Amino acid sequence: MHIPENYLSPSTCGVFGLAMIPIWAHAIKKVRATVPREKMPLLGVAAAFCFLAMMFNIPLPGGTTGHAVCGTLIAILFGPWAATIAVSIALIIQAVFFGDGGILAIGANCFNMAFVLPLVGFGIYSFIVGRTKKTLVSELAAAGVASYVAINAAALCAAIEFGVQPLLFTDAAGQALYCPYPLWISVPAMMVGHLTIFGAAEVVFTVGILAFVRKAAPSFGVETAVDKPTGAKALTPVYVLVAALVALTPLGLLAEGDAWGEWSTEDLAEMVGYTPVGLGDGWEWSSFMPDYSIGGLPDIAGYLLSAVIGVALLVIVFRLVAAAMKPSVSFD
Amino acid sequence: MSFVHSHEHAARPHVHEGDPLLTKRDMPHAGDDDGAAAPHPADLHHPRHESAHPLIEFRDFCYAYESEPVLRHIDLEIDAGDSVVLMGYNGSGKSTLLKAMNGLVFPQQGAYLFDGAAVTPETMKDQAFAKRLHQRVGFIFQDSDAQLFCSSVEEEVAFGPRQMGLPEDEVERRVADACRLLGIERLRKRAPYHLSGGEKKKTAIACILSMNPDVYCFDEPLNGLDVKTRDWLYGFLQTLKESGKTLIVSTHDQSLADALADYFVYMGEMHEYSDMPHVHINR
Amino acid sequence: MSQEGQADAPRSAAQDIPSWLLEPEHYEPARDRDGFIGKSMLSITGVLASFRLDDGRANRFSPSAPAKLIVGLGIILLASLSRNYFFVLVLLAALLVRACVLPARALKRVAAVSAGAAGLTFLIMLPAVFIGQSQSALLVATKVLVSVGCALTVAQTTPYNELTAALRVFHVPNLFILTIDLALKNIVRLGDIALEVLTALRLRSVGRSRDKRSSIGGVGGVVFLKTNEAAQTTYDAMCCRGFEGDYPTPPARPWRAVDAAWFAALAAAVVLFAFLQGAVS
Repeated sequence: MHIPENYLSPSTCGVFGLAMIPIWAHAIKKVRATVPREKMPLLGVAAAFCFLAMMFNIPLPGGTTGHAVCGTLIAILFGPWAATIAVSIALIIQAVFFGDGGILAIGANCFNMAFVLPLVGFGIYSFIVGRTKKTLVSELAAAGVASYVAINAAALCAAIEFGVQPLLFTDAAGQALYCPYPLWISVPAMMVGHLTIFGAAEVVFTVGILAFVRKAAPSFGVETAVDKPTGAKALTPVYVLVAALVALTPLGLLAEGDAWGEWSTEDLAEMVGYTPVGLGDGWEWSSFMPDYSIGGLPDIAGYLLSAVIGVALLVIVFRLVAAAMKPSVSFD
Repeated sequence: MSFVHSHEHAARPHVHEGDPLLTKRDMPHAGDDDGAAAPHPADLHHPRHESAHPLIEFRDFCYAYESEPVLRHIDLEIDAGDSVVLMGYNGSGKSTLLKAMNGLVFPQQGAYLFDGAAVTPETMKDQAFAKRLHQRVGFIFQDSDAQLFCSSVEEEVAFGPRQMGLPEDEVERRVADACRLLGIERLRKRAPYHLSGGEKKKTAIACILSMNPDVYCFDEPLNGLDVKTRDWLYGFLQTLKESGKTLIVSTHDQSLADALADYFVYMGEMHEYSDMPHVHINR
Repeated sequence: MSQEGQADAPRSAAQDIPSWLLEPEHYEPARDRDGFIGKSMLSITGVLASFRLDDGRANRFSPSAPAKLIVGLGIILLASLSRNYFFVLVLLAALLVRACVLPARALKRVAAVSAGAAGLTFLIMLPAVFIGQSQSALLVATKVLVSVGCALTVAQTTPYNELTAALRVFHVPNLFILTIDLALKNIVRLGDIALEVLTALRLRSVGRSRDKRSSIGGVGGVVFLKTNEAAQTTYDAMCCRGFEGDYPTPPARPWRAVDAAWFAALAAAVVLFAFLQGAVS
């Protein structure tokens, strides 16, 4: 669902960027209040789940691929605003270091996947859990429904952002400057995948990881049912899961083809018949490992390395955030 | 005086359960045997004006050094002219408390007020406020070596008054008086670094004295002194006390404490050995 | 020692005390900013505080100090020599994983310094980006990140005396190591003394300092004299314990079982280096 560079007009990018600033500010304030210093590194691990989930590409018959996001999962474990921060940082790392998603489009991508997705997901989850008895089964069911609806909500937003481009930004000849597919193409194209397979993937990831965490490491999260101190041993299952997911990331390479909306300029030109000016002359950011690969070497190596670097970076970032927070000294 | 009075009057210190906490106001005065309050000796030379607030006040003062709590919920009031002895084992926070009184460390919870004005990083940013505080509170370190940095004793003692902008004749008068009081007149031209331990301690006291602070904080003043100098210091501290200055002395020496104290402040695990009026903090 | 001390014991408090001492000092400091003492003190103490000798703690999987030196230097060498970006990224990945489990204070230090060094390098290499050679700028910046990060990680996770002792394994003369140890200790002590004297100066700077240079000179003088004295005292103490110029020590047996694994990892890195150096540039 990542919107690549130059698919949105600079003005669209600007609008979403500006919109995200108060959202991020509010999220930071909320996180400061709700996530204690000791739990901050765990948020980094949760962000790692998100990062890894987005590396598992799933093919859709018809040639495109998609992936889960796990934003709802983080919202359930750490709160919706913590999820905003975590997913935003994961997306920024993906854009800056791996060229996955445009730099200018970070605002729009964060809006879809870091704001809409976790908040919708958490809202629906809380609503359902509020009406039923809180057992593990009800929680998992609520998580499943919530994450499904949330990822589709996010996909709808992305589809709309794509779709209005050719309606608003065309050149003199009527050709689109940026994304060339209008609403009545972009919305069905994106929703088909997310209503079916990618939504299912999100549910599987969310429910699967949530069940695992609740059973094996109940102290992972904020305001958990178990209020044990988070000893390192108690969280070992989580770290093992992360390591396992890292090792399995090359599976994401099996799905050939790009996600809808994530084509390269040449591929798009072939499909549409012309190269939208904004894409052809657009600005390109050279990242460390574009598309998670290093030229000349087998993709698997690049993918694995990217997974390791991405996860490590996320953990380090959140540990640094925790270290920068004032320790709460108890004087009693 | 340019201090801003705090809005709420200082509350009585918190009485913890089972705590033999007596504030200065509760304590029997030395000359109270016959019921009539005997005039305080200091009043003879230096009539204490009844102030609305204590000179030094700690309200629920908490301080931690690198996440390790050092001072916990300190409630303490010291009035002008009091002579207070701090007693506590090593690590009980005596030095930190003295540093706090001098505005060198700031509370992480609670407050410290000097003459009714809160001492915080923000208020200390005002240079005039900070300088006034440092002039009114003198701090004699445990290690007098660290305190002396001028090239002669004379210059050392003159440093403070010169900083204060006093005219040269006044500076000279103060230097002469201070050296006479401390008995270091013949050392005036000497370099502080080459003096003996006792002479250094006297020089250190002289250079604080010449600024005429209201409060004198002594951190373990008897450390490293020989018996003769110690005896002299007992007497000198008495003199200071009788001239109405506020003394805060941290010491392990019980005879000094007995001779000097209006009341004791025990810190931490210290065993209260005396019947004298006392306060116990930082348990 | 003076008899003046006795002679001046206050006979009658009232007579001896000069009048200016009995009056409260109504001193109003000027409001002008005389921040000289404050600013210079801050900068000095900042520098000296960073000279704190960190007492890194080793965990179960940590190699011994000499192994750390060998592996660390090896990594830095390989990173610097590599022309293959992928190899440098592999080293970076390994370093990042190690950094994930560093204690918080060490992590802050390592992250700040290595990111700063890498950022500065990238800025210096910016012209390469403009002429289209951004890959080389990235490569050099990443190499700097790996090298500095590796060096700092070793430094932050080992007590300094273990590091200096590790030099013994490389047949560095004992006297040399002793000198380094004493020098390091004295630098820290210097910082502490300077801080104390500067605090005393600050407490007495209650007005306008007309002659700022001599105050700082005085501070420097005291610090110098104290360190001199400390050095002399240390030497005297060593002589009293029979020091005659040489410093024999028992043969060092610093190796740990875990070292084998680390050396194997280093060997694998060398193999990978050789393979990739030839493969793709």
